[in-house]
Amino acid sequence: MKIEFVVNGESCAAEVDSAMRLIDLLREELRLTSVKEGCGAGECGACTVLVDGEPVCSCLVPAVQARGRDILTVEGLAKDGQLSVLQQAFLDCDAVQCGFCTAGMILTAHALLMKKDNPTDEDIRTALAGNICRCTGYVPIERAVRAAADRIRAARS
Amino acid sequence: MKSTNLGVKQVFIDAKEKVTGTAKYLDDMEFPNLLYGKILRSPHPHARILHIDTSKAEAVPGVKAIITAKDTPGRKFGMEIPDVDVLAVDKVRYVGDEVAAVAADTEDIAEEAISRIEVEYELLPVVDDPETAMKPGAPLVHENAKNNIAKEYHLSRGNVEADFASCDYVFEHEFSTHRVSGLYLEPFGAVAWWGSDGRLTMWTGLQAMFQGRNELARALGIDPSRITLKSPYVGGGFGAKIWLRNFHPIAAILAQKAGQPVKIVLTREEEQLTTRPRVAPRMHVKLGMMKDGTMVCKESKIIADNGAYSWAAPKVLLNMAMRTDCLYRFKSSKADAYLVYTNLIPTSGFRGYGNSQMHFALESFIDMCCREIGLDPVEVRLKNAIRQGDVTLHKWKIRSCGLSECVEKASEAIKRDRLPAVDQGGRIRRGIGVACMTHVSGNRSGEKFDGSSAMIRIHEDGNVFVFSGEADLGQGSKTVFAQIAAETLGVPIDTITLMPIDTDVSPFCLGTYSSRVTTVGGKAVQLAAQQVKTQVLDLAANMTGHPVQSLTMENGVIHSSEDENLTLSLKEVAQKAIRSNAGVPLTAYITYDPPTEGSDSEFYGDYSSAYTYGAHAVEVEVDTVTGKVKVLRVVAAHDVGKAINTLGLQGQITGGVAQGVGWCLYENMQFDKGQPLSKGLHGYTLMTIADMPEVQSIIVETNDPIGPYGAKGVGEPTLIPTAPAIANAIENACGIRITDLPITPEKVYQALKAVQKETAESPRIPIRTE
Repeated sequence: MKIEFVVNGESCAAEVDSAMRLIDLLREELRLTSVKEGCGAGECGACTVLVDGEPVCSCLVPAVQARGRDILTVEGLAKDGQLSVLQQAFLDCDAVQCGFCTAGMILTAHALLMKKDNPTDEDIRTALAGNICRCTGYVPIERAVRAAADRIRAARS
Repeated sequence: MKSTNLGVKQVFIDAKEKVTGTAKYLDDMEFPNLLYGKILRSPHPHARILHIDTSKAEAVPGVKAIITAKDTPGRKFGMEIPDVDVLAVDKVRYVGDEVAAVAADTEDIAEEAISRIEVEYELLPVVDDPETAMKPGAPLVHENAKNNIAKEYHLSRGNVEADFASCDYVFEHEFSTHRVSGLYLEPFGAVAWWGSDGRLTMWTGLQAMFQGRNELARALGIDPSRITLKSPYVGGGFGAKIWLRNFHPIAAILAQKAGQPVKIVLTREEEQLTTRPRVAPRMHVKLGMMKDGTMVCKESKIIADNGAYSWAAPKVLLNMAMRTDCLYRFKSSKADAYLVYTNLIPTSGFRGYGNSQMHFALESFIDMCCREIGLDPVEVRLKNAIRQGDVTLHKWKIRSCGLSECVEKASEAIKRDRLPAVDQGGRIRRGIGVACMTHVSGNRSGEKFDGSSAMIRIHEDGNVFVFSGEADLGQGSKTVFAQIAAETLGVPIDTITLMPIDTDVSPFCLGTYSSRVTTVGGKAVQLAAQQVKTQVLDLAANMTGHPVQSLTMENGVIHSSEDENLTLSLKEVAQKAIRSNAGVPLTAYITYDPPTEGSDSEFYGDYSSAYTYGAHAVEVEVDTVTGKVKVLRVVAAHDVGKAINTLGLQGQITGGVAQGVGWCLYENMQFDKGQPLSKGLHGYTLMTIADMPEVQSIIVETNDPIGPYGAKGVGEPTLIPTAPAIANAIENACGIRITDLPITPEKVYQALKAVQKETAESPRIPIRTE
């Protein structure tokens, strides 16, 4: 069936069948390869994308569920070559090593900061507990999310 | 002058591609006419293959090639012990063993075809325990061998028997550690394509690209120069992506048969079935000590599970048998080590490469012995610590050593800002523990090469290309190489590009293992940069008429001490070199081999460019009702020689600590009669951000005389002392000692119960045996 949806601010249409997963639609049809398949079972969080602002594991969601939704992948974060505050904080805090978890991690954190611009440590840890990183030991990731929150609030005031 | 490139917080040069999602990993690349490969794997731990029928699979539309063992060149491959067939011949030896493979137009078609291959098996008795497998009459994993012992080492230094006889105390205990998965987040895979010239190109993210190329050539029975390996971005490795896997030659043979490129990317379930987990040993350790805390001698008997095929486990076993002898000033040591085939997943090297396992045993045991004698374990470690200038029992020359400083600083730091030792009316108990480590930065056995090569080429626009065959799996070696090149040349770091590895173009390198890349690979980059800088300055002297001794380059501009107005840019020199008959290549290709002699047939001899040291101190809390252990803080002190990138260094430390905590408390690959008890990540407990303790890192710089700018490796060391430090802290917190990893709540709970019962009935049983 044909479905219409929004990806990274742009309207899209695609032909999907019932077996197709959202990750396949994004990676194979739209070539949004920032979306990574780490386990295919919703256990690692590498395939996280935002659907209407909520983080989901795109390996678990049928593609048809994208109909009429607004989807955000990491490709949609930087504007005119300018990194988002969170992306920049990930660079500055060395929250990236192999990079395979990075897109999912940034999107999950992005969703958190959209809701809470001054999250507690507990908020950050709870939000990111479903995203596995095998390289960094999470410490720089937590630091990056905290730094981004501080920068976003400072820019507003 | 303070360096602007070294010892600074340098953002990784490839991080921007990663945060924007533009970095291309294997599965993100596009290839025309690509086929998808899938592998049929054994569901049985041990069985004879009676018959394979592929006819129904061949009939599936869209199937382009099906192969079984008869379609392979029939050559065994592997490392020290070549015991691996590309596809199973006659028999399967573990659950996951490769039996047949299909290439098809889509993944779905390939899976469908795989499900239609019929295999008739005759089940064979399973050996799933190395001690049982060693016994005479045990079923043989490999029939052509006389028994299941894959490898054994017997090492003796000094006279342990005499030394034990003269010790005030002799202690003995058994320790064991378990299988854990490297669990890099990017599943392993390869794309194979045969060109019309008959050469094979394979895209794959191996840690040791050139050794992988050579091993692939061996499996395929062709010359290595007929193969190109190219590395895309790699999503982690941690040791489990060092060496070739069966899917590499399988993809090549499928692609050859189909006449189209073939991609195989493992699913996470296949990864957990067939990855190369940490070798699981039982280690019986005997330690001789004096009343004053002098550690005199050490003896160990190791029986380790090799799994069904041998891969790197023989080397892992050797490390287990040797390396901790060089942590303290032992007078003598002895080790008898056995690696035994079983019908379990083949084990291999994972961050620490055997060293981590024996450190768990020894560093736990020192605390246990000190407790028996009534000595402070930190004082005992300091008293016995190896020092700079020592030549160890194995004749390793310790050219730099910050062990004592690491122990002092970590043990002091953990005592500050402690939480109460007892909380919630006695339910919560908190304690601290310390453990030390030593590791290598390089690894030369015998006469073998242990060096690295690098090539640097300056373009006419003044930009610099650095080529190295040492792989960056995300740990940041590309950035470290760029820093070293920028510092040595005197150019801005953003003018440097690290070229992707392509074995046709990149200089020969051994690969990313033994924590050798910064130390040995970085030194090669430094030397190549020096050589190309000489070419630049010689030509600049020619162009300006100033003597070369008066010239320096800083920030890509050449200055002369004779003429302060001279500003000649590297770009101008490069144009002169390239677009004239000046005859200057502005290219340097160097091969560097560190000045070590390698170990002899008895494993004596200095074999690493540098030896690294460190200590972790941890604070834990134990819930005495549930047995749950929580790591609160880790102080990680590491002698890194010289910090090149302080950001990357911190990242190695926090990452290593996370894997150390995970190994100690959470992760475990379990089997029941050869069948894995968990599939994929389900049932395999990984460290999440919620479990991560606070980490304080302490950097000790000892300026190694050989490493580049004094640097030593830090990749593996950061994991090695975490587990024994946790075990020591648990005993400090609540008086129980767990000697078999992982330290699960069940074990802690049972041990607490046993201690309560023991204290009620009788005094605790001493571990002292003589």
